[in-house]
Amino acid sequence: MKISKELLKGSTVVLILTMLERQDRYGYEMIKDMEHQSGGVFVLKEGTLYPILHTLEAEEWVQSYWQIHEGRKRKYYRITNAGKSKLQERKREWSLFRTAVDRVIGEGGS
Amino acid sequence: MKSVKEQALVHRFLDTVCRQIRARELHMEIKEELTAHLEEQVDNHIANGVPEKEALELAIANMGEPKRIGKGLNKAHRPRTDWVMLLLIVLLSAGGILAMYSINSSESNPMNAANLFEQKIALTVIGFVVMGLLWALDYRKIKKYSEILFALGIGFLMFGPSESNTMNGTSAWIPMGPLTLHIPTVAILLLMIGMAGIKPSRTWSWQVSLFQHIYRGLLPLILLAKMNTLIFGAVYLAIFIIQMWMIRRSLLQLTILGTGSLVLIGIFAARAKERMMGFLWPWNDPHGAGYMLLRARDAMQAGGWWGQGLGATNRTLPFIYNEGMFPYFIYCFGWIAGIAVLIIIFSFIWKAMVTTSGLKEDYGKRLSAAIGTLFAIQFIWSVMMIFGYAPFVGLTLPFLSYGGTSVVFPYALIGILLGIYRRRDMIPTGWSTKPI
Repeated sequence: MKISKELLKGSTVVLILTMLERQDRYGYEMIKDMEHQSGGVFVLKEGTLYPILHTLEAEEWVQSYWQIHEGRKRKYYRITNAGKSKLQERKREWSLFRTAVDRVIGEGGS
Repeated sequence: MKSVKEQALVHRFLDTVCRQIRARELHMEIKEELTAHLEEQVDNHIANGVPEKEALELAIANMGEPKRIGKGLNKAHRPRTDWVMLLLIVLLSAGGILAMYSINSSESNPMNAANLFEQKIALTVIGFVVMGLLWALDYRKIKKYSEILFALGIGFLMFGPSESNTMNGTSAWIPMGPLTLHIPTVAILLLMIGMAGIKPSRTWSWQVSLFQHIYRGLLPLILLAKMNTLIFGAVYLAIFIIQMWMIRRSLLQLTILGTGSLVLIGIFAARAKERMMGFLWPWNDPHGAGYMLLRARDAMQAGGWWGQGLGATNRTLPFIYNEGMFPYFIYCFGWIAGIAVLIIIFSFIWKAMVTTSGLKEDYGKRLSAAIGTLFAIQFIWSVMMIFGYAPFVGLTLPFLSYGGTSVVFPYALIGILLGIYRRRDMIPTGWSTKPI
């Protein structure tokens, strides 16, 4: 089943920051990992990832650096401390939202 | 096969993306990043058995609409306006204008002929124009003049003072038409802006290092001390140490600089004994060195919570439009207004620090740190001396007090600061190859 775009939009930042919290990654890697980890549910239009990453960098939640890996130049992203605390905040927000939705639609309710 | 980079299809895609991005200097780096992505994608397709030509088309199609990507990137690299900083400056300026109006409409104006209020407004307007100009100017253009600016600062200190213009025991003023230029202020600005463009310390040998410390540290200090403007020496010392720390984080250097500073401060303090005595024991000499502090205290006590009102007369406060301005402000508008001003001042210092720490480009960061240090010391010292926690010296509150040089120059610095912040996300930060 395909997920609607609107639903994905609200969670991309949390997903990206979570991936970066585990390790530094470059754009292509993030797309592949996200697809893989979500079992093919999250298929981001690849180009849209970059505006998001650049915005996160302007917000100082991530930092970028170039690295040459096997003769290939890659721009890596790394989460900052500000990004980490933002992520915690967003995660709490998400779990509150998820619980509320579950309650209303009756799956997590008593 | 041509590499991905050289394909016409890729060029068209990248150009469409970049046409949307106004920060032109970033085009190269963004193209590089997107190309890297395309390369990985193409390789992956080829590995899965897709023919080369199709692999490229598929990779580009997967990226999505180039115009939309460009628009998104443009949004992330827009010029920024530091509204908070601007608002704080407007509030401080308004406070200064109000105080001048109050002095003017009372009978405490010691400069009988001068219309402080009108002059303050005129100078504030000039200040805002200068601020706007420097805000628009790309601050990186200043960098190549660093050495000249620094040498000019030294020159000002060496050849500036003239014996005939002595004020408050310091010979530091140059008359310029109706205004006077305060040499230490001008010199520190030149030195500070010049020092921010210093070459990276990586390239320094120990001889160069020694020369830098003497030329940029000791020489200006000696010259400032000769002019008998000790506080400006202290301000300069702080800027110098912070700049050195920013380009070379070495504990040994910091220890040497710290010890050296303490010795210097000791020597200066001994020379400024009279003022120090007035500060430590104001009642011992209530008509001499302790005079200013006691008068300031009286004025602030008389002001109470709500003040004596706009235009209240106070004939006892000396330097009412400069060092005495803040006590007079509290005298007129009370502690409530005084605390409001303090909150604005500390928000300003905090904002300057936050802005500096968020900068990625080296020169801008150093320049911003120097400007922030200058304001922080000037504000904190001015406030502390009024409350009796620091000796009285010829420091005035930026934006609030009256005075030729001290009105226009702070605005110029704020213009540079706003300009640095404006370009924060619009300039390449270099191609660092390892995590910072």
